[in-house]
Amino acid sequence: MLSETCRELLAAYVDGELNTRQQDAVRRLLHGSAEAREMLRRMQGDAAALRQLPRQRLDRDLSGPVMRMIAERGLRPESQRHRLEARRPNLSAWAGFSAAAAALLLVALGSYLYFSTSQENGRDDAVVAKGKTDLTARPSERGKDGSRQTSPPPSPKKDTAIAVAEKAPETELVPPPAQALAANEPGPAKTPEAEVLAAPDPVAGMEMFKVAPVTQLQIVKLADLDMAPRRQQLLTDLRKEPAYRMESPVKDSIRAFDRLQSVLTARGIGLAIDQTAQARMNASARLMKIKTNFVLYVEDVTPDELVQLLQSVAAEDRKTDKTKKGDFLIEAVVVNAMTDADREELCKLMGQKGRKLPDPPSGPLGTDVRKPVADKTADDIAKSLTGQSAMPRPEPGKMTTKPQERLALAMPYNPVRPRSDSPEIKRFLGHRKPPRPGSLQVLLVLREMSS
Amino acid sequence: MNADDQRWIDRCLDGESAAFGELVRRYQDRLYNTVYRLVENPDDALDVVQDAFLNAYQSLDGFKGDSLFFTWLYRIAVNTAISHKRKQRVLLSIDAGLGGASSVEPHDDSAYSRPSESLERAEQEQRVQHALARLSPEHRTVLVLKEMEGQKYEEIADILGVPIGTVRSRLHRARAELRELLEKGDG
Repeated sequence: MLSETCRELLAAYVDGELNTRQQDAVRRLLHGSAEAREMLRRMQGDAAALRQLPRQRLDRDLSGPVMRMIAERGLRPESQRHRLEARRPNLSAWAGFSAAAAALLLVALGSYLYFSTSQENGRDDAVVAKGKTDLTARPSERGKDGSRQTSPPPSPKKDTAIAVAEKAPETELVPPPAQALAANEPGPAKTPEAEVLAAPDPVAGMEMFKVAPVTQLQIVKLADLDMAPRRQQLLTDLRKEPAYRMESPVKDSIRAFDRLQSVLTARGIGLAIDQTAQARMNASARLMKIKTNFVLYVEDVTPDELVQLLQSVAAEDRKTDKTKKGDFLIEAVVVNAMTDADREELCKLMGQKGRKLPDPPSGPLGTDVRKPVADKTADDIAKSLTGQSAMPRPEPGKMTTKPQERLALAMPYNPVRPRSDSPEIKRFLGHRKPPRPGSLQVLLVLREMSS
Repeated sequence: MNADDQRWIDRCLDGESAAFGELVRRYQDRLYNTVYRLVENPDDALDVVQDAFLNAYQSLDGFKGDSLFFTWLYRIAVNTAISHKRKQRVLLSIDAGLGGASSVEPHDDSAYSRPSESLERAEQEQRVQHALARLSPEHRTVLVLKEMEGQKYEEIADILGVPIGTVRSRLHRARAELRELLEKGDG
């Protein structure tokens, strides 16, 4: 029986893709093995049979129909389209059509990712579902007698976590822990965190960052970034615009978020996680398997850094996948230039007006040199310089503090949104620095597939 | 990069959309032949080729001239064909699950009772075509690109966006699978 290597070598021999040394090896193999000779004969016969299949020819000229379709659909090469859109900001008819097509594309991608991991998750669910009864529904779904109740639809006028908590979840959930149950029951002891947790899974009415027109060429499968040509292509594409919106349909946004956080932290990018987001991913939320759509915003990241980040995510996914088959958390992202609508929604989510975040402080390390130094700070500096401070003076050539790290901001947007006074958003805004030339603003939307 | 192709592309990007018609005329036959072998149906092949040209037109600005225009066009067409085939496969399996007709035509034994040479050749072609059709889209694609289009491993890797090692192993597995199908008479 020929080994796999020998067979592969024979196939490459038939294809004429071996170097001289390999060809010699194959000749030696053929000389000493009747089985190899027989296999080669068959492979050559099959190859010849394939080559002899008649060539198919078109009986018409396609250029006419193709050009007609181009004209009818108003298609243009990308560069022309960008120029045209810059001149005409109003959405043309095709934009709606392509948005619908893009939405379908995203749903298709989502479905693919969902079903590719569902086998693994099905096992988890089976374990969780043991002993599951109708009493597994959330408290917000039931009446006093424990029966399932139909909740009213969410009011679009209310824009808080409490407002959306009125909508009942559409699926049964695993039994929440006792403390979570207590927190969700009506009564004066309800904490803000419990209110956030009581919100249902993402609802259609709260969706943001609507899917923009995309083509299949803009779907980036993260594992493919290990291939130099694909990586280079993405880098080239990313250098075309100053800001991008990426989105990934995910099966479990909390775990996907964990993965992103570990990758960002490993690369020196800290995370400011809005407290509403924290509440939606705490231990209770994980046990209850509640779903949340998150958005992560980071700026001053170069295209190279961004690609490396995505590669790291893929590498982490691969590691986990070895032990737990099908456990890809972020398998692919859809990349689009950030639109004005995206900016406006981002600003809205961060409690800012308009479609532009305030400029970061312009001095080095984020310090605005135009502002006067507080009196106490001035005293501290004077003391330190004269050696009277409690803090030792830095030794030449040694850093006494950790270098300033960049911050990314994580917020939920469906079914809950950050509070207007979110300290994490304030911290992020206060921490921003003037961006490096060529760096990007990146908005990453983690959308739960079932939403 | 073919200078002629580049000239047509430049004209097209400058707003002369009719220039794209020339590129369509130039490559439609080669593209159709490949796509036909991938989707096995003349109407589907026509749709896929048209879609591929439309996609190529829209993405024309992204063509950097690193490879031949036809290689780039191939990449778009092959991806469109594979995606088309996958969708079709899902539909076929749903049909089968519902008790629909099998996607494989019944074997016609009567053909063997007429031993003329041309008929034998036609039968052989049919067997090979059926066996080819039963391969997975990935395996079928590499075999078509290699044997029917005469592409090198490197070019196939470029078209499919996979490493050369993957092309080599896919081709090897594709050949083995094809042989198995032909021996079993499934072709």
